[in-house]
Amino acid sequence: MSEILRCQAVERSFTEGEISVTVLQQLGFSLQAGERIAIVGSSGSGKSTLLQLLGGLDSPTQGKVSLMGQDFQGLSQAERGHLRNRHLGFIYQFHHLLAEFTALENVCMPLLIRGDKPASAEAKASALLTEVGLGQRLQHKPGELSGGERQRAAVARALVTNPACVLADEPTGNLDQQTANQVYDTMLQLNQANNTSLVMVTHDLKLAERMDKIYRLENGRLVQT
Amino acid sequence: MYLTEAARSLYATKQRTILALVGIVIGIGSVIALVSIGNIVSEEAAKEFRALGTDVITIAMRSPDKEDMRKPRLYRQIAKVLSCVDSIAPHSKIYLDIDNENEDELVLIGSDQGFYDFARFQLSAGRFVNSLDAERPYAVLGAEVAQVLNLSGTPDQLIGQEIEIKGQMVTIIGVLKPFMPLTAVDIEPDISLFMPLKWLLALDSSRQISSSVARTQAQTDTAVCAEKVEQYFKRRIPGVQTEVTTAKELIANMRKQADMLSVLLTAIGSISLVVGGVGIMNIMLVSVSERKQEIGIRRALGAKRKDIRYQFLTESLLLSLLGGFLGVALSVITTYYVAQYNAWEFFVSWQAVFFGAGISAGIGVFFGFIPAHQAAKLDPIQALRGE
Repeated sequence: MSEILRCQAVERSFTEGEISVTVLQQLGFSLQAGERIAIVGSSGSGKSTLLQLLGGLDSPTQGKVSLMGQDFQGLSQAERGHLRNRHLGFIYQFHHLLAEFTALENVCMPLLIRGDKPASAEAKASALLTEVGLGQRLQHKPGELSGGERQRAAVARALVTNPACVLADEPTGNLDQQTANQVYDTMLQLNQANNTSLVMVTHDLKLAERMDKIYRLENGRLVQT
Repeated sequence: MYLTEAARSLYATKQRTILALVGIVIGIGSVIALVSIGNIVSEEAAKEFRALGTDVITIAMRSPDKEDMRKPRLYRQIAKVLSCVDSIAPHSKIYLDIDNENEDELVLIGSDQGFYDFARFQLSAGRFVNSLDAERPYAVLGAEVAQVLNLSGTPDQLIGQEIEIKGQMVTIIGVLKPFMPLTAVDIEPDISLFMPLKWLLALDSSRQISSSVARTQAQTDTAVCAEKVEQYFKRRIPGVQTEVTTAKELIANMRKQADMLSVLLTAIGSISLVVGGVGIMNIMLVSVSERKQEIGIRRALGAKRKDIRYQFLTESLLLSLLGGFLGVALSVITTYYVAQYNAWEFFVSWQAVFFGAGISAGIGVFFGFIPAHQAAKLDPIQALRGE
């Protein structure tokens, strides 16, 4: 297995005026290709902050985060964007699909940002949406889809670039149990089919137990359970 | 990609887009319409002088000695005294209010054959007045006068009919064909009645012959001749105030006035453009503020800052170009109807159209840059939270 993501002695503090709060300290772990990990913890424990650091959207106060062997710290904003687009997918608790665009166009977006031709992007997006059960909903806008359908479209958007790793921030937190299971199953199927690594922040311990490893974030430190 | 997304985004906020367009449409529309109308007016003036010739001198006079100013002979003699003058047409005019539903106004012009020759009128029927008509109550109608006076019949049938003017019965002896306005002497032949000069002077003992038009001989320096004409009148009528203007000076004055008007109106139009541009900037700033989360998502999906900048810049550019296009359409329609109303020949100034398109594109880039830059430099995490 090759290493996809690595965290080394990561610390993240936020300073406001004279007050400094350390949210994450001495975090370290690595993620291999196809590996699935869950990060659990109470609200405000820093789970989302960790995910943002892993995605290169934020920078650690100390330590380093590297994706595909490249340290985010040493990259410009444009290079980080390029790296994210090539190797990462994001899924959020709230689907974050763009309301004015159809499901197909939303899923095409990362490919178009990458510079793919529209026809090629549409073919890939259409195939993946069909795979997640939205083949009949390609031209529907997010407002015309159910909660589960929106989240499945968001899963398709995260995976359409065939990324090495998907970072999911409570992807089923806004869904009922049955729908959450369906979305979760879809994510795992795609993870296995494409050997995509998965980092999932969740409150749902039952879902977390279906992952390869579970880490608990407590007092800013990551503990494997 | 940017263009489709920009169009989609503008369409999604239709009401706001339309409001943002109003300023730019009015700005571009007014600037182009004003420039086009100015060009048409200049062309119409040039057309008049091409028809009349540039060997024309207009003479306006005022004198405290009323008697001298009432003698047509004094004017006609100039052609004999000054070799540079080919012919002269003294005339006088009175405005005549018509009591009809449109409250039309006609003009009585006291003149003679000289004026007919000068203007190169053409008759539909009958003949023009001449000096032999003396004080006889005769009238030659401009092309639209019969309609204003509610007279029926063909031009031939109008000859011999009598109409009441200033309490006197006047016989129609001729009808003119339609003729362009004579800006040089401020006369619109189509709404004028041409009557013997002496008849008009006899109406009012205080009336003077205050204006004349003269034509110079071929191969003569018109400016030198104008100077001689001025000296002639000053010698013959002591104390007279004269204003002698050559066609070239008239054209230059008209151009100067048109240029000044264009500058003034363009300045006003430019203010509208700036206001329109600020409107676009305002709308784009609101758009950036409302779409922070979208910006965050795009950044998370790998969009670079320049992608976000181009996206918003494309949106403001598209918005202003759309405004420019509608403004150009508005200006063409406005210019068309103004030209129709004034019976001018309509044409579109393509320079003005390209100028409008260029200006609107410039406004889009200039006023869209700050919002686009703000969007591009948003922190993706804060943007994702919609903060």
